[in-house]
Amino acid sequence: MVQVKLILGDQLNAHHSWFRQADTSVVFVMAELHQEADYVRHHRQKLLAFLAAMRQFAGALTKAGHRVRYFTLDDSARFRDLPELLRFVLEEEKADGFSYQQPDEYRLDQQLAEFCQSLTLDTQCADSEHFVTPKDAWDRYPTHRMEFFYRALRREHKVLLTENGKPEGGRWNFDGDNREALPRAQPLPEPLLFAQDVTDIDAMLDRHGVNSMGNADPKALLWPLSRSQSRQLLSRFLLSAACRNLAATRTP
Amino acid sequence: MTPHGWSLYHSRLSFSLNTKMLHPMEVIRAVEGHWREHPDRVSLAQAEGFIRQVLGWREYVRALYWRHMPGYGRRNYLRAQRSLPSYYWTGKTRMACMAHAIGQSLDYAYAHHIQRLMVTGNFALLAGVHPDEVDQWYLGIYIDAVEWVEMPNTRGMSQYADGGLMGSKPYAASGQYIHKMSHYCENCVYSVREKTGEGSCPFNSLYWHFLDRNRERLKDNARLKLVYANWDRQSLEKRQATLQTAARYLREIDQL
Ligand SMILES: Cc1cc2nc3c(=O)[nH]c(=O)nc-3n(C[C@H](O)[C@H](O)[C@H](O)COP(=O)(O)OP(=O)(O)OC[C@H]3O[C@@H](n4cnc5c(N)ncnc54)[C@H](O)[C@@H]3O)c2cc1C
Ligand code: SF4
Repeated sequence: MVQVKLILGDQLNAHHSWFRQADTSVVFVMAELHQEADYVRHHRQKLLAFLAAMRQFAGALTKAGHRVRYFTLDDSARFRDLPELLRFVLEEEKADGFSYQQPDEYRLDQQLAEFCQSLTLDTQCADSEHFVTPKDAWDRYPTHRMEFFYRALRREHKVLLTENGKPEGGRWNFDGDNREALPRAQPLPEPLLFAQDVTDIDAMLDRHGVNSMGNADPKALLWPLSRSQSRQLLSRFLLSAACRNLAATRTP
Repeated sequence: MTPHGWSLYHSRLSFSLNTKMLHPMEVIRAVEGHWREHPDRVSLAQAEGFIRQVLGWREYVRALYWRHMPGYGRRNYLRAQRSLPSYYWTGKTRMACMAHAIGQSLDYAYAHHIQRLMVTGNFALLAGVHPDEVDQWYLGIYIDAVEWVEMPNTRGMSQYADGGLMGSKPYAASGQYIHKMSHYCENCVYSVREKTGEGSCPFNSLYWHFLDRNRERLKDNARLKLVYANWDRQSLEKRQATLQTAARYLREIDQL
């Protein structure tokens, strides 16, 4: 019984229940696609960061004992689109089932739903286990204004609430207090910029003539490409939040 | 909105969140915990303001997207038709605020919310650029751009093409707002103090042109009543001069 499971480029969620334990009857598929690189003119750094993060995620899964079939743009070029590539993998792996995680984009959601209808084997669309609210949250929460939606979530998940369920500070909203313009001369901590070499991916984009905009230094890409780098960025943000408060109280 | 320190008041976590390398609840708990441990270093207002973005706006736009697609992607409430000026792709404009916001976006694939909303987004709104073109630009240029979050922010919040689903009024602002929130105007060839005539800040006259030409669709908005009353109180000559300046800027929009 072989299961093929698709992971899209914006589904790099290491904590997903799919990855809880390695299972050799499961084949994960990840693919760099012309379809995705070309449907809009992307910033060069965005293309580089997405592809590099995908590659590093596939590497981490493999290291953890999962079976991953990764298609670079070179590998996927012979397929017209995602469904054609998937059909090829399903056949090669003699798969009995196909699963994918709920896509966040309407276009991909349609494409994959149609694809599944065309298959005779078992298919499943799993939750991406990322969002706080379900996909149909619009009909489940107050939505006529964001504010009421947000308060309902603060209550539900006990975020910034006192022990007896009241908003911390006695108010839901401190908007007015956040709005000062930035004082001019204040000590600013250095932002955390990574410097990752992605020249191989850059060369591949050139080879395939992928159209892009903006500037990039493929020898020193500054965006986080892994979960651990993302955690570092979060920690640095918390630190800088400390600095900015100090700075704000110091300046007249 | 200062030219320096662009990433310090902003977490730049959007790429990590949108690729799902970080879970929103993990980020929210980290910020809440940081405040509880160090209330002397980070204020409740700051922690709440940040959490509101992730728990509030981010989840809200996703809910809106799934409820209103695919029709949402075709909305154009204000019937905007112009094409996006060429400097969105190069940063080559004499408007200092725009040159900086676009230049930085081209260099870093990043701009913070106020730059996206009140500079580049505001200009496209005032000029009446077709929301399809605005959408394409925002969907391409930012490191964090994926359609479910890009589209409600662009078409909805920024371009008012959804007629007020995302926000209760258009985020339209004159140069005065940009002047108040940043230091760009002092180094700009345009004068933010002038509303009319050569050298006047384009945002100023375009702001009134926007309100004037969309009057039928906006006049019943309670939050704009005062603004329209203000406009009507100005003398006819003054209004005409403002609209003429705006019309000239619109004709030469690619040369601004
Ligand atoms: C025209 C326009 C287009 C936008 N396009 C995108 C986009 O494609 N992708 C995207 O993630 N955000 C988009 N935003 C929202 C916002 O500008 C960015 O999320 C933010 O600038 C990202 O930088 P940051 O991580 O430093 O944010 P911070 O200011 O540090 O905020 C923290 C987090 O809150 C979330 N957040 C903040 N504001 C919003 C918002 N309005 N909607 C949803 N989530 C929010 C983001 O996940 C962000 O990482 C857009 C805003 C506008 C006005
Ligand atoms: S004067 Fe107008 S165009 Fe120049 S920086 Fe200020 S707001 Fe922008």
